[in-house]
Amino acid sequence: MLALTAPAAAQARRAAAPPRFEAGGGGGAIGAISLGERDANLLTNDAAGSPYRLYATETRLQPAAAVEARLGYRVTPRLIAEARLTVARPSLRVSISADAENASPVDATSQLTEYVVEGGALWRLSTDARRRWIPFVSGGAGLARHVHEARALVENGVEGYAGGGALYALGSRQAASPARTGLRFDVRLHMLHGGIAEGAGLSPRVVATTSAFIAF
Amino acid sequence: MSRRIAACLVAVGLVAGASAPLSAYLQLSVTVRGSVTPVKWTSVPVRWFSSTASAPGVTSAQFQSALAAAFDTWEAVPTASIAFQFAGFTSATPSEDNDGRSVMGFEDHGDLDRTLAATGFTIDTITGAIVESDVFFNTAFAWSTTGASTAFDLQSVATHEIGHFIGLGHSALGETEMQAAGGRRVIAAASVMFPIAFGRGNALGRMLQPDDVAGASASYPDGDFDRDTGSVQGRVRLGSRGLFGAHVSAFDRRTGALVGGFALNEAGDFVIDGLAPGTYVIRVEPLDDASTDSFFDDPGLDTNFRATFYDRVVAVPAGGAGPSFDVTVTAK
Repeated sequence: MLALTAPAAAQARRAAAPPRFEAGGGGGAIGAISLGERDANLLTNDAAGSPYRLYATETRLQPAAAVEARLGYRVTPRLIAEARLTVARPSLRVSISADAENASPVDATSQLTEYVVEGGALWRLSTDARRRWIPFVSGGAGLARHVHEARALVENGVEGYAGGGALYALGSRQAASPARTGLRFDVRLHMLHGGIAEGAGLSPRVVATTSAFIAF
Repeated sequence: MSRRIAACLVAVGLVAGASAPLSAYLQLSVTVRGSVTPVKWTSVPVRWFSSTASAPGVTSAQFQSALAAAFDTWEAVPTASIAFQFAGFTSATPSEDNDGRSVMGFEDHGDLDRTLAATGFTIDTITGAIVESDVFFNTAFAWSTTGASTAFDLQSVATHEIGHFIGLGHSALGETEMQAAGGRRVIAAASVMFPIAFGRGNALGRMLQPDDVAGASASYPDGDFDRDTGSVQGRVRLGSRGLFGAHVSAFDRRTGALVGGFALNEAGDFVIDGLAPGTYVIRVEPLDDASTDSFFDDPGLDTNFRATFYDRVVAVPAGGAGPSFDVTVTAK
């Protein structure tokens, strides 16, 4: 009797190649930035005296809703290099007060369009593909452009950020593979320098966004 | 053909009527072939002579040195192309008009008890070019070149008069108060071209302020001035009518620079030139800190309105102007 045996066909299921690229988009809010206080001063008729304040001003870039689009490249299971474009429409507000001739105080405003293009990195704090929630930290830098009404003036500055958040994997987690779709929740501290913040030093603000992503 | 006009510090002087051309700064003007034309030097360097006359506390050499320093201050404006040349001492006096020399010197004008100094011009009425300009410093007042507290600082007053010498009118960037003995005392100013001088012992008038720099640069721009700076433009309105003679100032919220201008026609139109690119606060006020004839020869100037801020932040681009806007003020 000839027994035919077939080799154990215990072929290991070929594991799917992990996705390398990630694209995402979503929205959120950018926080306010204080752009400093400055008095309109005159020289007093007293060479040793303090300046004479004609009026006081305080400038802020107001909070605003933002939309963002993102593209990332998975360098390692933990490290993703990414680029992001954020667009928002904050209002520039100058609060004017304490006029020496009692002119009524005013909040003078103008509408801006803000574009921020950044490059950075995201570091996953876990590589367990079975986890639905994966925390991360992130950081990077880029350019911030503020376009004034009627494009009368365009101001360019630089911005750096650091933050963190969490990824939420959508779909079944039974397969031990990185999520291909999910949600991402970010909170970042941004520091703006130059451009519209010229003269105000490093200007911090908080940005919080929610986005969906797809990895491929 | 020439004609003599005068501009003074702490006295009546300037001529800029309701029909003056819309310009960023109040400039001394003459009517040339029916149109109002700013006066200015048309060739540089501008030669000037120093009188040999002296005054108590100031020798002729000290006088010349102070005047030279004042001329240097204006010549050092990086965005203006004006230059001066000391041509020597002369026994001629500033009041000797049409002698072909621009003379700076002391003169006794005891009858002008509110005039520290005055600048006179000889103008080519065909072209508007300044042919000659003389400046007297009134010996009815005590003068100092060393900051003495009991005398007026010569260099500060000279800096103001040389602003007139190059064709600038008065700036309204200042605050004053009425004095019990009559007249006004300046509390503070943001321009050496404010018509009332700082008090005795105060030498702050030696330094040009952003308003002065902008005025000199607008009159004598260097090659990059128009490309690198911008302007704001608009109209001042009181109710439904334009408001001639309103004082308008632009404040750079980032640098603190204050630059002023005026509504120069019956429509209330104004332009403020020579502004660094950035964002500005606009304020409109009446000309009530000095006699209105320090600025305009229109006796019917309306000053019965409240100081007002424009409720929009105005963006100034390099090499141009943002959109025009209206500022509406209300009567007191």
